[in-house]
Amino acid sequence: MSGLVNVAGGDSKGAQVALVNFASHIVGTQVGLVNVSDRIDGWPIGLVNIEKDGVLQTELWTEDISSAMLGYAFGTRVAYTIASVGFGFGASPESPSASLGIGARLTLGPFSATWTSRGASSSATRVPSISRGPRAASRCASSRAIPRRAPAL
Amino acid sequence: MRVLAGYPAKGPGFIAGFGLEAFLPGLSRENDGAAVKDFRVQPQLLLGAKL
Repeated sequence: MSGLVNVAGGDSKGAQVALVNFASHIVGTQVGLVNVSDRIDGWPIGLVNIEKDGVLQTELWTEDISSAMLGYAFGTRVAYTIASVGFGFGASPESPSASLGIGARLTLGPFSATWTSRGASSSATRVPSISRGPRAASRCASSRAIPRRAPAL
Repeated sequence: MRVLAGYPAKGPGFIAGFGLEAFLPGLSRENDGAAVKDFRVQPQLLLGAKL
């Protein structure tokens, strides 16, 4: 246990508790704001968790039919953090949004199953649409700095 | 919240799954800018790629 930074070389067992933790191989838990290891056999608890053999992946996906999302996931083999940005397109354009979340990952043969909860998201000013019709007036009238995106669970 | 399945487990491939989005009265807005009146949770389908 240490106050700010805890560094453990070689193999270690038990819990590392500090603001920032570094370990070569740990069997146990890392508790801190930032946890870094070559390999961890256990669960890290922190905002940023990085393992050499862990998740380090860029993802590109679409939600519904109007959002393009780009995310970067980083973490251990079982727990990761994901930062993402979103852009609207199509019939209902929306302002860019950014979010940060945590997730857990399970490997099932050739497949992986992940669960993610986006804890924080924000959206910039709505961009007025140039489309015609009654909906265009509604969009322009609400072109203040209003978050469009609902909080993700 | 989102639940995804990916293939293959490691490296570039495909991801698919679903998510849930909460609409909160007073905080959330509809696509047309109108305020959300009633709380609801809306499912989303997700489809994408891991690069």
